[in-house]
Amino acid sequence: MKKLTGVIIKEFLVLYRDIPALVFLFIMPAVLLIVISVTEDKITRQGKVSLLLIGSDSSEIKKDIEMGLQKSDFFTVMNINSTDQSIIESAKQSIVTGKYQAEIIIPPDASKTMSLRAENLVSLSSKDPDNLKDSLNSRNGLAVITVIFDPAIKDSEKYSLINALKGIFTGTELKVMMDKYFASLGQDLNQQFKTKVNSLKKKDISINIPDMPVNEELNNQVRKSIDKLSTEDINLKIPKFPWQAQSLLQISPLYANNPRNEVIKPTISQICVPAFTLFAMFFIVMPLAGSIITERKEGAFHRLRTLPVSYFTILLGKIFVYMAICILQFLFMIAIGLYILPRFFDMPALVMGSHYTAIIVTAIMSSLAAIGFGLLVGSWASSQAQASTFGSMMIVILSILGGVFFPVYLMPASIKTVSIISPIRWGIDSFIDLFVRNEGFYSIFLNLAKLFSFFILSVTLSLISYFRRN
Amino acid sequence: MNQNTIITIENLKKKYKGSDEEALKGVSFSVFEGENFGLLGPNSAGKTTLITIICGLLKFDTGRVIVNGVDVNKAPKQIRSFIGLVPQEISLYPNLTIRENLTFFGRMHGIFGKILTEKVNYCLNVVKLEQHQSKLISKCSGGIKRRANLVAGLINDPQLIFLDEPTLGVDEQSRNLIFEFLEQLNQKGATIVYTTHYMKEAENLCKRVVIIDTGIIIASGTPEELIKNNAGCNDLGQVFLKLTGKELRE
Repeated sequence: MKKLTGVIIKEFLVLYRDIPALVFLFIMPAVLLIVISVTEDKITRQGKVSLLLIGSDSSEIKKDIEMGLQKSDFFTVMNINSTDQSIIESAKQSIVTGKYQAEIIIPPDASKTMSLRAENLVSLSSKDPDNLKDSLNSRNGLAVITVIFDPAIKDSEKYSLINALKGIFTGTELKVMMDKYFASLGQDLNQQFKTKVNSLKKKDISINIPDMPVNEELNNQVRKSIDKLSTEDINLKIPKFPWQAQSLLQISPLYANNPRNEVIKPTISQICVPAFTLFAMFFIVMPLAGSIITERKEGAFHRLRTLPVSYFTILLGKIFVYMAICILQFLFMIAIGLYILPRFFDMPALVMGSHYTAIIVTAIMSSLAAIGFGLLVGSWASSQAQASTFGSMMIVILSILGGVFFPVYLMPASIKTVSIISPIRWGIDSFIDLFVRNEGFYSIFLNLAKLFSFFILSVTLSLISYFRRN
Repeated sequence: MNQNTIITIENLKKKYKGSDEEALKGVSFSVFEGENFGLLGPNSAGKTTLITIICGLLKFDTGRVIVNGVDVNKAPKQIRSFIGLVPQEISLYPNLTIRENLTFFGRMHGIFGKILTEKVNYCLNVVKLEQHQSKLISKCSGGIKRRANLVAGLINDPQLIFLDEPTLGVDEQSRNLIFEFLEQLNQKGATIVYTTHYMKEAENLCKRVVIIDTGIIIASGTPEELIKNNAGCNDLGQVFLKLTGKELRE
């Protein structure tokens, strides 16, 4: 035990004096975590696509577009009440400079054009129904809404806007068309009734009831009523078309693989903090492998082998020290998620779920996996340069596969399959289960087992290398 | 001088993997307890291989190595508590101070607390390193490193000390200090096995020497005997050159 303490003290002193390593282990991942979290948060919150909407405020089309886009969480609309061409041109500059990502221009006569076309189509539907289809397909007489895009806009954002506008237009068109249709229907029915009554006027509807003294009087009264009816409008009241967008159907968004069908949306912190914690932990390969190689190259290990201390004690000392470093890294990153990001960058604080024991165990298992990797590289590499190059390359690859820089679900199936070999992924998946889904040990047990097995395998391979060398 | 044998080597052979020639070709000699014993030879003679085997750090092919009654082949770890090794290269942690290095190696010997502090202080004092004790090894001069390297191998007061070129690259003052220290240790009863290229050192320090070349012992005896037995030689250096030849070695 005392010898183990001696090894631990030595390892701490060696690491404590390796300032570049400490910067690498703490500052670099912290900076990455903050920069990437803040950037992703900005992309999520404010990018929202920024739009300019230019036209007259009295335009019904403009009102519908503004209301429809504002309701969506994806767009931020800047309304300009103007039809002046010079303002439209200067607004284009905002698109060119990237201040806004798109500009929607409502022509001053758009509502009128739309209304006129609707009237024509309604008229055609009763008078010349055979040509209605051709007229519907014709592009003549359409009100044209121009949308000017920033060339740098992402396709997904562009098509989101176009599809949103199409949805809004469908509603606007339907509303205008229905109003015209039912107004025309009222007039049409009115006219048809009058025609029917006039045709009645022309018919002889006299009734001759034998021995009825007031026959003539009765017939005159009926004729007078018919005459009166033929001059009056029936004012047919057509009830208002009871329609509003999404009043019959609704979309219910849910997340897959959730037995309780709860809506769970992970925050940026819940994704980024575990990701960069694992990234940081695995970077201990640099100082750990470095210390093993230095010991070997500088001859200190040669001396150690002549001393009455087992290799197991030396190894255990290194494991303890680097475990402490990994746990410190973990706590440091958690602190960034809990305090730095909300306080200085106005982001939601990290939510960690309630299974704290499972969180600590996951941190320990992830640390062990990282330490095992460091021991493995240190044992097999023959020089510092080799260890640095190979170690850092492998960490970057394992991080990319593990989902540190972008989510695993975005990867193609073939790469997703390969990503399951990354111990970084096992760690991240475990933390996400704990933080986002508030799952317990049962859910993460397999990943913890994989992390521990990776540690055992790495240490075994390190020992093989040691015995081969010595 | 105590005539008990502390090291017995019988017909020791060793061939490295991938090598055409044996590094040791049936070496046999003994070292007596309390002796100051010199192991001399040109480069690639097999000196370091021999010391490494005796310390239990390298397996050998055939033969027997007994150190203080322990068969090194069967129980190499048993000899660690009573040997001290001062390797040829500086085998210290560059990012630790001299004191921290000594403290660490002392702890690995199972020495702790006040006793360890006293031993460290003694070691620093005997090689005049007190004023440098807080310096990182990486910042020390060659002479200071050599002295620190020396005492790091002796922190446990070993019975049997192996010194592999301990004065390599060291100035005259430091060398003199090291010799005085080694003589003190020898007088206290420690057995010293000393390898060196400096024949004058061996002649002054060692009571008995063996000269090894290409894995074979070509001469053994006291320096006086070797000089006497090699006509035309006035010192051990001339004996060495006569026996090993003047050709350059790898």
